[in-house]
Amino acid sequence: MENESEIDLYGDETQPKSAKSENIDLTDDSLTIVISDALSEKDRVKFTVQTKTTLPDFQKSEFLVTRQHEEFIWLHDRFEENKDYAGYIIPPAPPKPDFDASREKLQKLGDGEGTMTKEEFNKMKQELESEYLATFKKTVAMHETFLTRLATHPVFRNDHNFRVFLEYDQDLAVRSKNKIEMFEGFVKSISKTTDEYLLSATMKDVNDFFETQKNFLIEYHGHLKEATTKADKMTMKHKDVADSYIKISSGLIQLATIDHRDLDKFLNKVAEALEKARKIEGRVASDEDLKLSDTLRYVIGDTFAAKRLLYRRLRCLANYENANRNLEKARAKNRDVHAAETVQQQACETFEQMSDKGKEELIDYKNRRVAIFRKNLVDLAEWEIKHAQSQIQLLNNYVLALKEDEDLRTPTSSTSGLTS
Amino acid sequence: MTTTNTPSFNGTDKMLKSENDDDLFKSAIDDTAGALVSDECTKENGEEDVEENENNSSMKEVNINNIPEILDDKLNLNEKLSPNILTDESRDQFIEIEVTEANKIGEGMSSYVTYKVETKTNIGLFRKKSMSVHRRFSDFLGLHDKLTEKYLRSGRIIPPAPEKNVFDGDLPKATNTSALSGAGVKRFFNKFGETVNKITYKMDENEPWFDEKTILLENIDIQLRKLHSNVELLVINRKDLAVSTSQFAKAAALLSNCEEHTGLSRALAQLADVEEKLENIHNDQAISDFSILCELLKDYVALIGAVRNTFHERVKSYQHWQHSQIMLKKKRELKDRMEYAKRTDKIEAISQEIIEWEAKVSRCEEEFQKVSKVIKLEFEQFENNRIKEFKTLVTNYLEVLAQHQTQVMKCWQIFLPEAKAIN
Repeated sequence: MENESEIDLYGDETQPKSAKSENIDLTDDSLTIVISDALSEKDRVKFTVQTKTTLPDFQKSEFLVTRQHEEFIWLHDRFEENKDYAGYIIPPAPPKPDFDASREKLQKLGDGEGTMTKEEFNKMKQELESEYLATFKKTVAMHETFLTRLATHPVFRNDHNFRVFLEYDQDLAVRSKNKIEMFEGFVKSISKTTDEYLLSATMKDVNDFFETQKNFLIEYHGHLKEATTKADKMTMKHKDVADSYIKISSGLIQLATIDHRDLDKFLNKVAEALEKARKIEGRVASDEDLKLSDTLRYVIGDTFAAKRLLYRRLRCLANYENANRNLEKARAKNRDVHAAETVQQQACETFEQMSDKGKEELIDYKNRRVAIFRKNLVDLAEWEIKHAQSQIQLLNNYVLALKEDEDLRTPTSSTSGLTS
Repeated sequence: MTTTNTPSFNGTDKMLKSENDDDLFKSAIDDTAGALVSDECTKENGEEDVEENENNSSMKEVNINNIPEILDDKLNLNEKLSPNILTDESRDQFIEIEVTEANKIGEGMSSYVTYKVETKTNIGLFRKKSMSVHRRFSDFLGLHDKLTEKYLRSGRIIPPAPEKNVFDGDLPKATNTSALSGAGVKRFFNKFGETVNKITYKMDENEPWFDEKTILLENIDIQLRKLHSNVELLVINRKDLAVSTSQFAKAAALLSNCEEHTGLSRALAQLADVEEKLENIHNDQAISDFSILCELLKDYVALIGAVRNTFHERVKSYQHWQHSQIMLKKKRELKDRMEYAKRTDKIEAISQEIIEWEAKVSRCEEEFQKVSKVIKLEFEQFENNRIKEFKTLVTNYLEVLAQHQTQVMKCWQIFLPEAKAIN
């Protein structure tokens, strides 16, 4: 049974037209990228990346390639690794398409099918389908945002790997990591974080700006994560509330079929009102998810990227100080002084360049953060007001109608009764 | 506290206590000396008081309005059987009963709670137009027992007794919203035993009305219970939503503290504020879900149980009738045998017995007919009141939903300019 419904849900491949990314202002259209199509195949999603450009370096002015999530990650990692970009905030990688929550719910629904009526089951299924579709659209949008941010970046847009990603019409042969690689990656990420941890604990930035930024970002990132978890839970519960209306209205309808004829119409109307209210509540839940949780999630990614920048800066500073010490040692011993000088000079240059760039980037990050929050919080408030208004109107209309029915009935109701 | 004037069963009521020779209310404290009921509270009855363990002071609203004319004198019964007279004479009569404050009396284990019962009426049988007395929970149970004892057999629907500790769950104390609902009265099931008999005994029904209604009641009962558990689920979900909203509010407040951008920090603090208010609104709504819908459904499940009890009384009455018919038949056969055997000495006595049984049969038949008639009337009134009350409360529920949405809207309307002010 579950299998059947699964096929039902995932079998027809969803191909939503992705919405334009909302966060980046595209006044410059010399390089525009959209994900025009996406195809869900079992546990993979294939994104169709469409590029239009007027930049001379590209071979053509239009490309159409198919990319998978792993290829996006590959591209992101190339940026992270590139030393030239050490002073930049790398746009956060899009999250892995995750439909587990939807699948799990679907499984649960299948298990509980016997306990509900056909109608209830269909409504729940419909809810899950739209939830799945929303998740899908969001995934696509986040992948697109990633590419758009690269495309609008004055430096990243010229990156070689990025161009390959956009132009090469074959598979990039980036498989998902096998177990050993996963393990290596895991060890690497541990050593990375330990290093990061050590550095942030032991190294004090020479520059106050960076030092305060570092402390701020670490704390801020923690609070963001916490807020996101809580926001997710809240929207999930809101969805549950909306879903529990389904069984109540269907119960009222069932009661209407057997109960007194005087109640029949009344119960059906109430059920109708609750069903409509449910849909609005469901919208509230999904809009909160979109405007609140997802905003927080996006800012987390960006904040993490900013944190990474500061870490790289500290690493750089450590290298620079190391080079200084080596130079002093070399001078003391009067050996390899020239080589040490060169190294020291390079380290100094890198560090200074990075500092200038990093400062700019961090200010950018802050402006971006404030802008994203502002836009989405305004949207959230506006949508919430709109939904509450329509719910108030809906309920009041029904209350009015129910009361009118009652008034019309009153003169006759005393004579109706047991002979129904 | 708000009046709980549920439309059930009021309007036709006549209260006459004079037949009550037991005092149910020995523990009651009367604060308007001379009120009818208290005047009669003179004799002690041996009834044991149910231990009062209430330590919450939450309100219990008990609809004594629900007591129909069962308090009526039996002498008036025949008159009552004519519905026209019933409505005519009750048209201008009213009785409004309100259970207001609860007071804890005493300390520790032996403490108990009393409820103030205020009555307003123009029914002539009361000596005063308004009365106010204090009653203990056990008094309500006692009243229910007495009424059951006295009137169930004649086919009257006895409203279920209230249940203890209405809000003794996770739900906070009753607020104005829940008081509005007029619910908050949990009733327990009338476990009058004899359930086995109910199931096993199948009477030959000669009135299809009863068969029809029995099936109807059973179906309604099933649906109501299902609906009730689904509303309970809604209450749980809504309470969870309130909890997670409050957790998010706290997280947002922390984030706001940390945020270095002043405008954004202020907006996040406002967001935390909004979410805190939403938490309260969700909680209020959960209480309304519970006290209006949940309690309404629970009341009806109990009321349907009470109605079914009267149906069962009728079956019992039928059994009595059948039994006496069988006995009569046996006696007649015995007489025939005696006559055949020419045992003249016994015939005299048996003839006497036959006469007695004949009288009993006709008495039982009359009783059965009467019970059947009373039940039909009671049922009609039950239906009318039930439908009215159901409609009133459910409509009220939708209104409360709308009110809460209005509050939600206002919260966000206050927030919107704050969000726009971020720059």
